[in-house]
Amino acid sequence: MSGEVEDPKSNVRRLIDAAILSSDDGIHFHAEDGFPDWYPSIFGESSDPGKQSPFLAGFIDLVRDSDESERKKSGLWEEQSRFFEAVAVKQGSRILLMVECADERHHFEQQILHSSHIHELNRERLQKELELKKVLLECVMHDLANPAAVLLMNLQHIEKKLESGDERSLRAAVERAINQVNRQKQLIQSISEVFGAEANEAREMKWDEAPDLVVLAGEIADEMESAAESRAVSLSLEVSDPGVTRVKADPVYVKRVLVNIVGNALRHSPERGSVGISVGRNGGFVRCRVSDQGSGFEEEAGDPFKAFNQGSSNTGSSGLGLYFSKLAVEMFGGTILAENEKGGGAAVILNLPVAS
Amino acid sequence: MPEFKKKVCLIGSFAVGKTSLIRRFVSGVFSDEYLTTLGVKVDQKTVTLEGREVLLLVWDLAGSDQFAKVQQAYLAGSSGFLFVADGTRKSTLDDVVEEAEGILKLFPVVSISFLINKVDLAEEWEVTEERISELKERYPVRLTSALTGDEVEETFLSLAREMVEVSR
Repeated sequence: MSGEVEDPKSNVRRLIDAAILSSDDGIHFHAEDGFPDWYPSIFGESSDPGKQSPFLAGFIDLVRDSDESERKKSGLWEEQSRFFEAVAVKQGSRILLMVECADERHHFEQQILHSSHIHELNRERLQKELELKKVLLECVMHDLANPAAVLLMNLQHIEKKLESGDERSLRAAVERAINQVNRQKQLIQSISEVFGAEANEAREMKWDEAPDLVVLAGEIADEMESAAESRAVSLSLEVSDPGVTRVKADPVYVKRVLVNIVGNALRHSPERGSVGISVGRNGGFVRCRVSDQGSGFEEEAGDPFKAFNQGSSNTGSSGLGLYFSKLAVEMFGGTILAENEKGGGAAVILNLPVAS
Repeated sequence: MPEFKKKVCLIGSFAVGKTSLIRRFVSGVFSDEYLTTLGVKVDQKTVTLEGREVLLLVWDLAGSDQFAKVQQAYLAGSSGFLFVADGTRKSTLDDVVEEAEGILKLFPVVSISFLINKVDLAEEWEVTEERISELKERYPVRLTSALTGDEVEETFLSLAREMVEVSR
């Protein structure tokens, strides 16, 4: 057995890896025993540890202003990538201060807190994706209902005309019915594409095709010609710069956007009015402008691209078409905006990045 | 020796980019790796305003969450506050406005600014123009990006200028 007697204070300091300091005037501190190895490099060797650490200076001020014998804890703080916590007590003009190295505690608590924050961020992201899916579902139901209604009308027409033997009229009705069934089939395919993948996968979708916006706009103009005729509205397509109008976007989405925008313009057009689609280049984008001669977007109704915004004149839309269009166009790095024309009427303008 | 020394605290929910804004301002760097701040870190930077040096002590406080709000003891002696929200998570703006209103009752004479951060993430942006305009009617507001550095230097310099003006 050794004859040496271990200093109990030094033993405590080694156990908790802390510096124990005291100050008789509340300003100048001295070590109660030796400093731990890390102390001088972080807090210096002067009698004022607050000189090296603004945080510790603030804590000492707080202790100085505190009530007698009140034990104060600083909480964790960082200095030069190491973590500390201080505890102090004031007795008269004397302050006893213990600065503890808390790297391990910080590491442990930080891991738990970080994991909790990551879970919370993921929960928020999933909630957003769920909302997006709900909107998509509403849009899809809305879009699926239209071909079904036209199909029913044509079948009723066929039923009526069967007796008359008007073969020409019957053939035309059958053709219209087939077109609507094909449209619905295409929509069902796009639904399975959208809902078959996670929302984030859809956002990172790769598209090998670079569809020509002029071709897509032409297809939509043809498909919607009968809807325009039924409303006695003329529908025209104007191309200002053919040949350089391929876009970096998924054609299924772009067609749905065009169907929504042109459908919206037709719904708001007065009888014998006109809806114009014009396509052309706009710098690094291909621009498509759809204009109508309706009453224009109402300022008081707010953002027309907001979900479920139907304006005051409910024309039978779900209020989701333009919202979906904005989501889709922005997904491909494009922009969409709505404006009222000076002489009356409104226009929706979309810009999609040109395919290189 | 700087003529002025001013303490600035950054307040806001977790993951809004407080640490990244400070790193961008103090070191001019950005990392997109998110690491939760636990506790407090104080960074220092001296700025020069019309030939006069101002030492800014920038306090990076752990972000508020459902378990903990900012400890008021850390705020003592502050001359300025930057209330930070993430523009892609609109709830963080509502939360920091509520937190700011509580803090400003305790520190009525301080320089402040609201920062709506991550303005580079336009596709995920959630805070509406209306909400920003409404906030601008009551407080100074800036749209910042720690990634691109948009409005970061300007925010700190403007706050420093205001804090010096107030202390004269």
